[in-house]
Amino acid sequence: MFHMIINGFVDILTVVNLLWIVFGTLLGIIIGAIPGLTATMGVALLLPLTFGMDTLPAISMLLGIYCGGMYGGSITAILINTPGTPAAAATSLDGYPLAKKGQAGKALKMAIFSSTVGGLFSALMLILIAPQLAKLALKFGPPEYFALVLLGLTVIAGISGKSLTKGLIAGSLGLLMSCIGLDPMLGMPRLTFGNIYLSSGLSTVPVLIGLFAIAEILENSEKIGVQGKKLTLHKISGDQRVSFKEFKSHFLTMIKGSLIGTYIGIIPGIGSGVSAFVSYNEAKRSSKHPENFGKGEMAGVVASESANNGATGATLIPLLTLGIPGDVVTAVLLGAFMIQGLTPGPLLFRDHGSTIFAIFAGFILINIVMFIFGLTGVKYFALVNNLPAELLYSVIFVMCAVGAFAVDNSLFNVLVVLIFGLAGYLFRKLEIPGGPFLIAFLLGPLFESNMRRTVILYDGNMLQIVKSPIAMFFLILCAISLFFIIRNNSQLKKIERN
Amino acid sequence: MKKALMILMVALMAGGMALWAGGQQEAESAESYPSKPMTLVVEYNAGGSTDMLGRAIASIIPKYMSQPMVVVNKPGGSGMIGVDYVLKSNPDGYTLGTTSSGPFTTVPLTQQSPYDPIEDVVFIANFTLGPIAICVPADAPWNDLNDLVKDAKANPGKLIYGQNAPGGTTHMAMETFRAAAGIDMKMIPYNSGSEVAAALLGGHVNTGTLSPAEAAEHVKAGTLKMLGVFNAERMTDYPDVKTAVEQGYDVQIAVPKGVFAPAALDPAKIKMLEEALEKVYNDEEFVAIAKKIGLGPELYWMNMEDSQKFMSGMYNAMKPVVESLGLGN
Repeated sequence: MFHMIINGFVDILTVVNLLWIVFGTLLGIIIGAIPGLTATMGVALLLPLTFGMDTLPAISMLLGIYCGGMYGGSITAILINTPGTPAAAATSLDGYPLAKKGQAGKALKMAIFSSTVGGLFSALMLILIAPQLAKLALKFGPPEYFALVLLGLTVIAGISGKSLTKGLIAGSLGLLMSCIGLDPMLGMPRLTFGNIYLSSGLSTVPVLIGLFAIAEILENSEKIGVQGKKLTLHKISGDQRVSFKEFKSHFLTMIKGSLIGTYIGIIPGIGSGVSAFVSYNEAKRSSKHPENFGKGEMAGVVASESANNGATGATLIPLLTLGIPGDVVTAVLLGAFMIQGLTPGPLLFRDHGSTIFAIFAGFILINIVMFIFGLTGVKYFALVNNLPAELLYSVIFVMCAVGAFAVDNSLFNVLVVLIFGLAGYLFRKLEIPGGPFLIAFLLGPLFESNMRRTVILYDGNMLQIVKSPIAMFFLILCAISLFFIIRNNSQLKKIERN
Repeated sequence: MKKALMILMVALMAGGMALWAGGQQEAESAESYPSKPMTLVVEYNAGGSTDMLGRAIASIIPKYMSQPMVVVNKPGGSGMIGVDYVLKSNPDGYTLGTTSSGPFTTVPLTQQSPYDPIEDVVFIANFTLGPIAICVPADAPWNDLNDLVKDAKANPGKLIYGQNAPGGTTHMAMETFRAAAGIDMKMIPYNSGSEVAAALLGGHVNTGTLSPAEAAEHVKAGTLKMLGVFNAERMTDYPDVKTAVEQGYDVQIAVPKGVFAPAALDPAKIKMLEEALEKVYNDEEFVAIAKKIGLGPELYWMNMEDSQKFMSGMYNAMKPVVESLGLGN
C-alpha cells in the first residue's frame, strides 16, 4: 500500500502534470467563486478538452476543478453573502456575519484551513479504506436512505433562527417546490401546468442563486441613491491572523466535519450541500454557545467548509469502486475516466492500480495547491470590498443570469432566478430564513422517493423499518437532534427573557 | 442632445439586428450547404451516453462536410425541451438533434408533448441500438428467464424489480416482458441505471433492467449476471446470454440513438447529411471513440428509410403498453 502511494507521487510529479493541476484548481476556485457557475459546469465544459490528453493530466485537471470549485464557493459566500453552490450556502450563514464584523480575512483563512483538512481527510479515506466504505454505501436501501434524509430534514429546525414557525414555513415551501416535475414513481408530470420546462422540476442552481444572491443584491440596492449615504461593503478591521491556539480550538470541529462530509459523501445521491448543513447543525448542537450561530460564529464556517470538502474525496469512493456516480459532477467524471480507458468499477483497482494511486497522489496535491492559492489569495479576494458596491452588484447580477442560462442553455432558468430573487427578497422582508427552504428543496426528491420506495418494500407497513439497524441508528439520531434543538430553543428564550 | 444620440443608437442597433435576422431567413440551396457551422442539439446533460455519442459524431463530421458541428445541450422535460427546440428551429439543416428513444416514443404518450414525434421529425440516421438486459445478483438462484418466471409465479407480488426512469423505454420493455410471462412483481423505481445497479449489488431488489455498459464491470467482476436480453439477436459481447424471444417471451425492444432534423428539411440536404453520417459511422477514428465511451458493442447503422420505419414502429408498439399501464395522457 505505502509503496504504491510513493510510486503514485513519482508518477504524478512531473512539470506537465503539476501545471495542469494548478490550472484546474485555479480555474475551479474562480468558477466556484462566481455565483451561478458551479464545479459541475466547469468539469462538463472542459471534458471535451481531455479527449486528446494523457490520463494523469486529464483526470487531475478535472479533479482540480471539482475540489477548487467546492472551496471557491466559500469566498463569495463569506465576502458578499452570495453562495454560488449549495455547498457554500451553509458557509454564508456565519461567514457573512463575520465579514460584517470586519473579520472577513479571518473567516476566509479558516475556510481554507477547514477545506484543506476536509479534503485531505477524505483523500486519506479514499486511499486507505475505499473498498470497505463502498460496501457500507451498498447497504443503503430505501429505508436507510429515508432515515438519513429525515435526519437531514431535522437540520431545518436547527437553522431556523429566531422563529421555528417561520423556519417550518420555509421548509414546507421548499418541499412543495421540490414536488414540481415528474412523479418519481410513475413518471407522470405533476404541478407543471402543461409547461415542458417544468416537467423535469426546478434546477437547484437557479433557485439557489435567486434565493440567496439576487435577494442579497435587491436588499442592498435599497440603500443605493439614498441621499448622503454611499453604499459600502464591510471594511476589514483588526487582526486577521489565525493563531495556532484558535486553529487548535476548531480542530475537533474540523475533524467532525470531515467525518460527516466523508460519511454522507460516500452515499450516492445525497451530496456535499447536505453534508455541510448537517455538519453545521452538529457544530451548533455541540457548541457551548449555540446562540452565537448565525451571528458570526467561526465554528459555523469551519463545520460547513470541512464537511463540503470532506465530501469531495468521498463521492469518488462509490464512483471508482462501484462505477456509481452520486451526483451530476461525478457522473461527468465517470465519462472522463471512461474516455481515458479507466472504466470505474470493482476491477478498476486490480487492472489499473498504479494509475489510480497516481490519481490519488494528484488528489492530495490538488488539496495542497488549493491551500496555497486560498491562503495567498485571501488579501486579493478581500480587495472585492474596495470596489464600488453598485458596480460589484451589477456584475454579480449579470453573472447570476449568465450562470442560470448556462445550467441548461435555457432562458427559462433566468426567469427562475428572477422569480426566486423576488421571493428571496420577500422572505427577507418577512424574516423567513432561506436555509430551511434550500435544505428542504435539496432533500425533498430524495425524501419522497425513498419514503415511497420503503412503503412499497414493506407493503405499506412503515413500522417494519425497525428491522434495519442502520435506519434505526439514523432515526435515533433524529430524536437526539430534535431533543437538543428544543432544549436550546427553550434556553435561548430564557436568556432573552432575562 | 444626449437623448437624441441615444435614440439614434438604439434605432441603429435595432435596424442592424433586423437586417441580421433577415439575412438568417434567406433560403439557401443545397449546393452551397453547409456554408457555416452546424449545431447538434443534445436533449440530455453533458457527460451522458447520448451526449458522448453526439460529441463523437460532431468531432468527425467536419472531415466529410467541410464545416464544424457545435454540440449544445438542452436538457430537461425528459428530453422534450431539446427535441422541441430543434423541431421549432429554422429547417435549414443547421440545427440538428440527437435521437434517443424517450422523447420520440414513451414520453409523448405519457406527457403532453408540443410536437408530433413521428410527423414532425425526419430521422436521418441511426448510430447505435442499445440492448436492455435483465440482470440479477450473481448469487441469485436463477440462471435464465424461465427460472425467474417460475419463482415469480410461485411467489406472486413478492419478487422486486428495480426500474430505471419509470415511464421510459426500459420500463416499457420490462412491463412488456411481465405481460408476456404473466407474472406479478413489485416495482421500485430509481432515477438512473447506476442506481439500479447499486440496488442489485446491495440486495435491495431482486432484478433490474440495465444496459450492457452499465452492467459490464459488475458482470466481469462476478457480482452480477444477465438472465436474458430484449434484443432481436444475441449481443456480440455476451454470446451466452439468450434473447427473451429464444426463451419463449415475445419482447423485442432496444434503445436507438442517431441524428434527426425537422421534417420540413430540404430532401437534398437530408441526402447529403445521410451520406456524410454514414461516412462518419464507418470512420475508424469514430469507431475508436465509440469503443472508448462504451458504445462499441451497440453500434448499429440504419439509413434514413430504416430509421424512419424503426422509430414509427417503436412508437406504435409502445402505445398499447403505456395505455395498459394507465399512463396515457
